[in-house]
This record gives sequence, C-alpha cells and structure tokens, in this order.
Amino acid sequence: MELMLRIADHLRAVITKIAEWSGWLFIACVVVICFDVLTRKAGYQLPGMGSTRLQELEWHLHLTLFSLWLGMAYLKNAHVRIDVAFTNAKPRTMALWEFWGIVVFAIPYCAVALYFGTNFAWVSFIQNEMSDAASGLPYRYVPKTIIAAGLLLLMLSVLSVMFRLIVFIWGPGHLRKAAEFGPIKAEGSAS
Amino acid sequence: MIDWIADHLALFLFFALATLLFCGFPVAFVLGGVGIFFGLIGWAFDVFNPIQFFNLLPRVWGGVAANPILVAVPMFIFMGTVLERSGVANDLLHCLQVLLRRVPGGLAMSVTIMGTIMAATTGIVGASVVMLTLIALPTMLDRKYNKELAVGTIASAGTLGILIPPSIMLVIMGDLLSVSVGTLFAAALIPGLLLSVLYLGYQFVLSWMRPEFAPPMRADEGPLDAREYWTMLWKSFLPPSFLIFLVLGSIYLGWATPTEAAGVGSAGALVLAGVRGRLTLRNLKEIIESSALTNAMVFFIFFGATLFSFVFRALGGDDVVEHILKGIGIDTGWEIFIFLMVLTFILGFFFDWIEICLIVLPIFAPILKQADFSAHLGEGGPILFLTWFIVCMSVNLQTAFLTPPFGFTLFYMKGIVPPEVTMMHIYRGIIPFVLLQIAGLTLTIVFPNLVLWLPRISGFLN
Repeated sequence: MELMLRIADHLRAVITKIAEWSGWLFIACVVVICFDVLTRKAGYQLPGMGSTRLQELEWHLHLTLFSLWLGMAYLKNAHVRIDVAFTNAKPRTMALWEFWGIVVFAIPYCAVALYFGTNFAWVSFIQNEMSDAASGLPYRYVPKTIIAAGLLLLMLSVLSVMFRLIVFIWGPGHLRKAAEFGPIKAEGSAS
Repeated sequence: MIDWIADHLALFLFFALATLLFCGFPVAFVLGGVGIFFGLIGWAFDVFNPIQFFNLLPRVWGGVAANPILVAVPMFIFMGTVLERSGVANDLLHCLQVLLRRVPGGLAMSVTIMGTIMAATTGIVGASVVMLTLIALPTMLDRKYNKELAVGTIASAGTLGILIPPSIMLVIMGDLLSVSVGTLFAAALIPGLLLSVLYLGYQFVLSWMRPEFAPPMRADEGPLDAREYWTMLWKSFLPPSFLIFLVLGSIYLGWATPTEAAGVGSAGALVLAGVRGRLTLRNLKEIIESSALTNAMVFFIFFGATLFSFVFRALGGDDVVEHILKGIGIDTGWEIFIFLMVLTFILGFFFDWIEICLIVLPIFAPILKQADFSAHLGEGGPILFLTWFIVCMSVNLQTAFLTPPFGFTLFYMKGIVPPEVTMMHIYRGIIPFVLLQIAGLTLTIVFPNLVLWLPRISGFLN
C-alpha cells in the first residue's frame, strides 16, 4: 500500500511538472499572435517566419496547451462532473464510486484513445508528414506525438488517482490522509 | 427483436448517456466510456467494427487541434483570467459604483454593467458566477442590500457572459454549425445588450420604489475630490472598457480574426496588469494554472463528445433521430425549432453549455441545416437561420441556467454564499430576472432583426 501511494505521488509530481512547464506556452502563443499581426500589418516578413508558418505554430501551441493539461486537470479535479446526487455522500462511498468510474469509463477510454493516438503519431512519423501548405511547418509528427503524449499523461493521471483511491478505500487508516483526492477527504480532516 | 435492437442501438446509447452522466464521474470520461462500450455492443450485433475507433484521432486532430479558429478559446480564457486575477475586475466594479452612487440601485446596476463589460471573463457559467459572487456579494451584504435583489443581480450578470461577445460559447457553437465567429459576435451583441438593459431597468425601478432594498454608498467611501475622481476613471474604468471595445471593434470592422483579436487582447490585458504592478511571477503562475485547467476541461469534453457523436452516427443515430421526430409529428421548421428549444432548456438545468453544445448540436446539425425559415427571416439561405438559431439557443440556455428549482447557476451560488443567504433567497431573487429573460427570448424569436441587423450592416451576411 505504501509503495502504491509512493507511485501515485511520483506520477503526480511528473504530470504536474510537465503541465506547469507547458503552461508558459500561453505567453508564447500571445507573443506569436502579436508578432504575426504586427509583421503582417507592417507588410514585412522575416525570412522563414511567414504568416502561414506562424499561424500553424499558433495551433501547434494551442494543442500542446490542452493536451499536456488533460491529466493535470483530472488530478486537480477540474473536469466538470454532474455531482448533484453526491454532495452529501460519505467520503468512502464517493471514493468507491470514483474507483468504479475509473475502471468502467476512464481506463477503457484512455486505453483506446492512447492506442490509436500512438498509432496516429507513428504513421505520421514513418511517412515524414509535412504541412499541407507549401510554406507551412515541417515535422507534422511532432504535434501528433504531443497529443499522444497528452493521452499518455492522462492515462497516468487516471492510474495515479486510482492508486490513491485504492489506498484510501482498502489501505490502513494512517495512510488515508495522504491518499485524499479532490473532494474525497479523510474523516476528521478539515473539509 | 434482435434486429430492432440493432437498428435502435443509437437510441439506447443516448439514454444510457443521459442516465450515466448523473453518476458524478467527469462528463468527458463518461462520454468516451459510454461511446466505447456501445461501440463494442455494436460489434457484437455486427453493425460496428472496433477498427472504426481509429477515427477518433483524425477527428480530434481536424476538429480541435489543427483548427486556427479554436485558438481563440484559450486566448479568450487567458485574457479573462488575467483581467480577473489582476484586480482589474474588482477596480472596475468599485469605479462603476462611484459613478452610479446617486442612482437608485447603483450598486446592483454596477454589477450588471460589469457583467456586460467583462463578459469575456472565462465565459464558463460556473466560474463567472463564482467570481462575481466573491467580488460583489460581500459589498452588497455589507451595504444591507436586500438579499433577493443581490443574489438575483449576481446570478443574472454572471450568465450574461456566455451570450455577450467575446464569448467562447459562440466560438464553439459557430465552429460546430459552420457559422463564422464574426457573424455570431455581431449577431449576439444586440440581444445581449437588450437583456442587460432589461436588468438595469428592473433594478432601477425596484430600488426607486423601495429605496430600503438598495441603500446608497456612504459619502466617505468614494473619492474625496474631483482630481481623485478623474484619476479613478482614468485608471480603473477606461483601460478595461477600451480593451474590450478594441477587441470587439477590430473583429466587427474586419481588421482582425477572433483569434488575432484574442491574442492581442491578451497582450493588452497583461500590460494592464503589469501597469498596476500586479503581474508578479506568483500571480502569473496562478493565472496560467487557472486558465490551463479551464482550457483543458473544455477541450477534454471535445475529446469525449467526438467519440460519442461518432459512435452515435456510426450506429445510425441520424436516421433514428429523424425517424423519431417524424413519428411524434415534429417535422416542420417551427416544430423542430420549438422542440430543440425545449430540449436545451431542460438540459440547461443540469449541464453547462459545453456539454449541451457538443452533444446536442452534432446530433441535430443535419436537420438544422435543412430547415427552411425564409418566411420568418427573409431570403439569405441557411446561414441566416443558423445565426438566428444559435443566438436564440444561447438566450434560452442562459434562461435555463437561472430557472429554479434546478438552474445550475443557483447551485454554484449556493455553494459559496454565506449561510445567512438561503436557497429561498436565491429562488425568490432570481424569478424577476427569469421573467426578463423570457421577455428577451420572446423578443429575439419574434423580431429576428434584433439578431440579424448588425451582422447585415457589418457585411458578415453578404
């Protein structure tokens, strides 16, 4: 059980690091858009940084931003849920529901998405896919790999939460506090 | 029997989803999980092949990732969060209060005006209402405002944000029904302002007739002399108003695409925050985290809904929907319109617009694109109908979010108000605003020119 909790914590640490780092791409995206607007209005383009490339870079950044935060958002319990029925449930009941939700919905879904996501990126890589536009960005497999990586992080975040819940539900009492997740709190701790 | 089930799997899929969403597990996972489960059932019935799941990725790629228009979504979320977290929103509210201090109900009106100006702030109903409640409710209770008026004002102002541009809901709806974002931003402006004016009128009349409901600001709270007054206007009111004006203006005039306007607007918001000295590293990290979480939440629903609607379609969902609607006698344009309005209204009790748009619009899009409303809207093709429909649906959703007993804005609010404000205060306070919403919705339906006039003169519909 202790090992399980340690794995969960390590996974969480890795996902958080990657997400926090990639969050700065918001600023990068703002900069790229402003740069694109300015150079286009001024009618001057730096060589190799034409508008087509910049606009492709914008959505590359956009997909990186949401992909790498998918798992983090689950760890932070930021994905919307319709939980009207459960606001007053006991923590253990909530933990059990969450656990079965993971087993029934999240893991099969993540597994399918990850399998085809990896495949999608791999096909792009072996074909050395480029942008459809002649003046676009090369290496189309890079953004596709980022999406696959995002799905992998999502799967890891699901596993991390699942391990915590297992410790919370079936583990010894003294580990319960350390295994809290989102609204699922150990009894006696401040809510 | 077996054949009947195989033909109607899509129907079972829809009802399974409707039930399982209430299990409290994140909506995006449920959408995806149910989709996969029914794909496998379809395989057992020989109407689906699991290799078709491969389509998930190209669809997410083409629809969500490689889509320059949707870059506007993270940018608008970021801009709204910067304005909120850097205290710009707070200062704006204070400034509006001072401006309106001699007007009956000045504080309530300030909250509504702020909701109108800062509509960009996230645009996720739950988040907007929480933000407004935290900023405005303590002041209103402190001032001994009537509790019903206070909560009604805040809840209604919080939901204005999904309609009044720049609204990320319109970006996403436009993307789903292939209407340009500029058209929708122009179309939603007048109905949005109309609702805002209706609210203001109600607040003014009520506070004028019952002054004890809305005690005015104390004289010592505002600026002391004329110089301080003008400095405040210059510092707190003009910059954010000018920023929003610039963002919308550049879209309406065709200078910038919504994505560009949002990116440059974000830069502007960062400058505003920087000038105030509130752009510390810590603040910036918080802003990034909050925006990124909201953004990931929105797009993850895209992932789930893409898989769901894809499986729904592969199982013959389109035919089933058309069949059932015909079976219960819904086949003319108006009948479909009213049916969808009622359906989204009911869904709006439980779900935020993201789930509703992403689940319902793809299912009904084929039918909507065929509807003929030229008698009501004039000649101009399906684009007129889709534009008008999206705005009606937005106002309708807004109304649903506010309607007791379920309206989910009310539950968000109840979660953060102090204990002396009860659910009954919230219910009683919101009813006048719901009536105003219904009036606004009726006007939008009966007089489609409220919607279509601005996009016509800005040249979006030519």
